[in-house]
Amino acid sequence: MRRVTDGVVLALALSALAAPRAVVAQIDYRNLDDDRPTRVEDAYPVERFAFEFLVPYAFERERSGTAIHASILELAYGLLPNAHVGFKAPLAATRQAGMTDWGLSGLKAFALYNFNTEGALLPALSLRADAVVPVGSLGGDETQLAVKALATRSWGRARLHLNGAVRLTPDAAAAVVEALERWWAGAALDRTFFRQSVLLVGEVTMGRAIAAAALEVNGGLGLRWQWRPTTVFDVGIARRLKRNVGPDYALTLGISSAFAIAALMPNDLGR
Amino acid sequence: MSRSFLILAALVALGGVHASPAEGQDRRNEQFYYPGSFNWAFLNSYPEAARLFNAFDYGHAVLYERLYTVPDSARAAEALEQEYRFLTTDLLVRPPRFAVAEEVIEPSYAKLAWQAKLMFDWAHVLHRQIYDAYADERLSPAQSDSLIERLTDHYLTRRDVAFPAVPKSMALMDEQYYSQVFRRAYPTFNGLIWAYHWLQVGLYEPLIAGRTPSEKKAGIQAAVARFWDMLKDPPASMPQVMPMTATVAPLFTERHRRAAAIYDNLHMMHDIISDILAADTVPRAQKRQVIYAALAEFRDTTRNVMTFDDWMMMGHHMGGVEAMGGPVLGLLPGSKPPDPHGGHRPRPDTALTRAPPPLSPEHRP
Repeated sequence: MRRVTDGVVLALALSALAAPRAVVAQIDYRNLDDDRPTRVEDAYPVERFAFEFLVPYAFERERSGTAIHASILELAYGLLPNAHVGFKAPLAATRQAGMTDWGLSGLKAFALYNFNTEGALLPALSLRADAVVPVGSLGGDETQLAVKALATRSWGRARLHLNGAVRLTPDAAAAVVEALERWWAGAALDRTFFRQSVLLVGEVTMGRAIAAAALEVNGGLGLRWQWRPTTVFDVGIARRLKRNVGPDYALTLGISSAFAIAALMPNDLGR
Repeated sequence: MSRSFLILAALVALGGVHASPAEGQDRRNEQFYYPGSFNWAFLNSYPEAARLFNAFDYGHAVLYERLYTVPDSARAAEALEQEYRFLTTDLLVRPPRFAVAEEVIEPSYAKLAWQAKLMFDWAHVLHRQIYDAYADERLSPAQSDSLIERLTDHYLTRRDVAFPAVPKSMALMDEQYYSQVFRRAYPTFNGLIWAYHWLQVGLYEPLIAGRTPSEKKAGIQAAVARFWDMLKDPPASMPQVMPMTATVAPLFTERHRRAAAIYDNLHMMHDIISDILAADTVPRAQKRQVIYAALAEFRDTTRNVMTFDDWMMMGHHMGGVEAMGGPVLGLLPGSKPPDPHGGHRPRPDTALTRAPPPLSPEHRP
């Protein structure tokens, strides 16, 4: 066990936030990624050949008094048409009763496949698979697998997103952050402000961490803002909606940047 | 819970897999643009023009949305008049910093014809990247031209969404059973779209002709001012025929014939879709099918194509550059100002802040 102050962890997270410099990206403030800033995400993948690099910071205070700091570095790549793959490397620190544990909270790999764009009848529909490997001092005990179904439907400037996920592996000691819950489901409603390149989003989620756990119901609000042509800034807040279960409050902020590598594109122009 | 959820997920997945384009479902099929440090150079150096294009995107999108969702022609005319006012007195005057999310503006149209939206988006990316290639002062003219050819190669790798690099016949736009309905019913909005297209291809000229960044800047400001001039007395002051790239942007066409042909095909397709959406002769239930047939025709490089020589002459047959909005070069004070209308031409530095003219009522057939 290592002891560090929350301030050091926060400084590390903030320095990580400042680290990425956008290379080339697209205008993607409407691409609602999971946890950026809401847990519910949209049903659309990263564009083919695009990399999306996310550097967030999150803080959560539990009713028990436990505080969790996390920076969940994420890289996603549009590997195939209408599909992306990616991984997350969550760095976390928990502080409880004056003691702080910190370390890697597992490694997560994921893949999302989108079946269709939204049409006159069907919403956009996708499936996603997640695997968490127990790596690091806060990474849990077992490899965990989960699948998630996603749907997105729009009405002009508003969109509704539905997510539902279930873990396929048995309950086990879980990672501190980015753990795969027994099941969870959520709905998010967003609204686009196209002149300001801003997306406002609100969500309600519910789920159980393990089969025997109490049902957790949380609400969240967030904003995504196109800061530069290449960079999106997001910020969000969440809180439990049941009296005894869930975070007193959770805050997140992050920066995402999309880019591509010429050598990976067809008819490479870097010749 | 788990079993029910998995069954639901499987049903959802199967529903998505089995949905075919014929049933109204398209694949998303978005692709990232070609990377390079030249990207966004135009926005950084010439924001007054680059941001206008964001407003242009709104104009295209809202046009299709209104034509599709307001089938009653009287109500459509009213809706388009309101949008014209909004565009010319607000959005074009204070355009967005970044591209407009067109799905937000045209949600029904995007669901109807996603493939068309994809094709337009991919061509607009080429448009934007070629501005960037010219605007990047680190590149020599030869390097810019080389990059533009390679960008065109890259654009054409997506055969499913690329307009061909050979000029398609104008008959596809002007001689179909739905042709010219939109321009006759809504000449002012049509003139605005043609003014957009004049500026979109015309801006290449000062970027090529300008010997210094300040010359390029002045030329671009003059072109933007000329664009505003076109809105002074609509539709008479607007282009009377579709601006042809070879005619409006001869310097660009001389260097990049393929890209110029792509733009004319793109702009023809813009007009064709307007016609299909506006035409009563295309039943509402058939709009998607007719649009997709037109898209397929445009992707076909073997049928209904013109020779480049014939294409270069088209502008002359259509009335020349004067009928298309006038030449882009020669607008600066002290240079030879071609003036098809003989009217006052605003100074470049004041044009963007001047209030646009009041709207004339749309002429109904």
